[in-house]
Amino acid sequence: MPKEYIYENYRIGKGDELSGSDYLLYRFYEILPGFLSWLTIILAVVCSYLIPIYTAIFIIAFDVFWLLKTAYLSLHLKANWKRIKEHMSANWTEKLIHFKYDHIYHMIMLPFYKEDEKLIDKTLKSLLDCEYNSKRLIIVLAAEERAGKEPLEIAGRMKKKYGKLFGHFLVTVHPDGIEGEMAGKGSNISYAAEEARKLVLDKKKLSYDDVLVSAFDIDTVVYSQYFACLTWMFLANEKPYNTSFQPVPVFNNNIFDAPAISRVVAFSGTFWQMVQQERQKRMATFSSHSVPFSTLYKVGYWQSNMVSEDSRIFWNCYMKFNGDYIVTPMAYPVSMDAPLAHSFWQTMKNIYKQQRRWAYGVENFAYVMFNFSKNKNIPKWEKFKIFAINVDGYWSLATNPLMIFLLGWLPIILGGREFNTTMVSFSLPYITRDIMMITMSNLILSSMVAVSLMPSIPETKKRPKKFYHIIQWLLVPFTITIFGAIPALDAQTRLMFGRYMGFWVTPKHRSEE
Amino acid sequence: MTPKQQFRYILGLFAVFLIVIPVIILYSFGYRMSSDFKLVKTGGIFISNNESGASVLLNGKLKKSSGILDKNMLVQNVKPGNYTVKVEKEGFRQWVKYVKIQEQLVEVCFPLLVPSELKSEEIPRYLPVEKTDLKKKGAKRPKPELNDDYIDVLDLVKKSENLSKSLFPAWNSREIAALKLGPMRRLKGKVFISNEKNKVYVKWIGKKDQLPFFINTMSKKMIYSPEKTITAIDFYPNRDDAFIVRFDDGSLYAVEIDTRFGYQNSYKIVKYCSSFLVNYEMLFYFIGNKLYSIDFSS
Repeated sequence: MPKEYIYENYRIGKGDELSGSDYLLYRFYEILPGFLSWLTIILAVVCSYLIPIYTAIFIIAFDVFWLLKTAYLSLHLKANWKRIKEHMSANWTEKLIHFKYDHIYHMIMLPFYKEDEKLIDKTLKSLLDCEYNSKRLIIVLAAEERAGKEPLEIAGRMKKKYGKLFGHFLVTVHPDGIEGEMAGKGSNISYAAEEARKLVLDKKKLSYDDVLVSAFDIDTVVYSQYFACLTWMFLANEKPYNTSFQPVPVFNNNIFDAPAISRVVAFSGTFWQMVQQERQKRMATFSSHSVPFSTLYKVGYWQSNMVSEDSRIFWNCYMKFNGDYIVTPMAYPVSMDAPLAHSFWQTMKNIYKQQRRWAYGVENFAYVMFNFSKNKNIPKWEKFKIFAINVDGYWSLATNPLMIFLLGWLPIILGGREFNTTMVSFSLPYITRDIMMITMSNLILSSMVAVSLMPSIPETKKRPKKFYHIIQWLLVPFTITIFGAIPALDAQTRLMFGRYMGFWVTPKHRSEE
Repeated sequence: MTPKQQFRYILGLFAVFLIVIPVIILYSFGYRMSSDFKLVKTGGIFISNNESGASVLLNGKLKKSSGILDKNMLVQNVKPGNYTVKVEKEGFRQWVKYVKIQEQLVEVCFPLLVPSELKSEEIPRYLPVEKTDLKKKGAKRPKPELNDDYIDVLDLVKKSENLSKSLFPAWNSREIAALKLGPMRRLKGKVFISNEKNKVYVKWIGKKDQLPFFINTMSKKMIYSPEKTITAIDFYPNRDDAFIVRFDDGSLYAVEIDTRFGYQNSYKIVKYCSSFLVNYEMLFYFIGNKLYSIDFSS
């Protein structure tokens, strides 16, 4: 008889927490994504040398596949854009009239490290400005002990300023050096959520079922109807405790201060989330997200022993509920900061590190596959689908831009003289170029969507900037290679060799207003 | 987007993929549809060119012109057979080749476009003396000052006579020393040309898989055997697929290395000189003590 699956036994952070055959299995799944990506790159080089004609055929077929895939994803982007516009113009407060919702509380987790006081103030102000009863909002400002005294002083001042304006305002200080924890957002908000449970929910006798937790970043600025929209989606949901709610992260807070590369990378991330919103079954939570407290409590909060807690919480819930868990796409935005630093090169470094941290979400693959091997309650077909979706996702991110923009030329360089006299050798660059030109035409839609999602240009900014916000999309081949494929390959390689990453806090910087 | 819509899109795009892929692959391999709807195999000609505004003609018919960015020209859809290929550009001498095109293969040509009128400029040995200095009463005629440009060329001449010895030894300096470079033995990149018994030979000293089409053999190959006596050779400015030869009558000719298809283009570029030197895009030549230069970059 198979052993019963106990979710709590398998909240693994990384392979070295296990031993014996479990360790080997977990490590196998940690190695697999990086192995497949490197195998692809090595095969591209070897095949270009040994069988350049077949490689050229593959490249042409792959270019066409990429063109059609881009078109397919653009259809999703367009559909989600339409839905976002509808949701942004809807009056969610009015729609809530049909429900009884006074009992619903929103707990907002705001973890911070050493961020600027003004930034925290702006985030809290946006929460206060929401079209939602602020007395139903529980603010949890989660500081880190390791950050020193200043953040605690800031938290104190924030509590003094905003404490009475919200339903509850709790400041928590995550102790440094708790054994088995990784310093980072996951450990901080897990500690803060447990503190809030004891000090607010239990004390005030609030039902866990009536509290929705929004795990934000400290720079997350909500649009006015966010909580009304979230409440409506929660109440209208058939299985409200078996779902997380995912808004669309847009990086508008400092979009006019960030350089073009930062803007393009940030919007590319937004577009990917928009596309995913239209493919619900492929979705996992990402960055700012919301989840019922009772669900969160059942799964033991966010994992504190790994980096990508934002997406892992979805897989935790998925495993806990034996696959009966899904993400509800809200098609409603929250605004965050695009990477920006005091100098251009520091901004570039920050973008790279942020993208690498996001790409390190590949650590979830081993967790999911390992749990699949233990959990027999999830159908095999479902497991296979998730396996294929994930392998495709990680592989595409790390290799496709390289194959399209760099490796496509390899048969010409390595194919030798005989190949270089064939028609296909001479046609390849022209065909690749033409297919890429058609593919790039999808960027027209991207630039339209980006401009429509951006706030209006402040008067202090020069008008011609709008033009740059359109032509900046020509940077895409560069950004998806340097800030897409390379950091993804970097993250996968680290995981492959067991050089586990720690949590890196993206520094937040906005120019003085 | 509903799953049904997604399924329909996937199905449609998959159908497009299945239809488009064979068409593009056949096209890239040189297959074309003939006027009677039969699939025929074609070949092509690739013109390796660095002049914008040049045109390529096949059997007298204009096929392609080079642009500012895309100077190389690929002529596709060429039926297998023999063709007269001409490359023309206004202000340049016509380049002609007789090429055999084979199915699914591309012949690479390296047209040598030489300006119709080469403008030579004298580089005076001395800088001109200012008139005001001459007009001063009782003033001695000032000693003429040597022109630095002239001196620089003289230095280059000295260096070119002893090319195997360089100030900084290269990683392959032994290999280069063995070539005994000088007025009759020249090296550009990996292309080595030499004059032996009034015959010019070429040899590729690089890797076999990088062998250029205009040489086409790893063995030493005789590429030029004129009736007149050769006194010096050097590469054509900024090119490794053509060379300049000086004959005993003092004339300079530009000759292409490519002898494929049994035809070699050569052009007279200077009527008379006592010696010459090529430095990057510049050709310098002496007539007695007088030095002249031709700039091939423009």
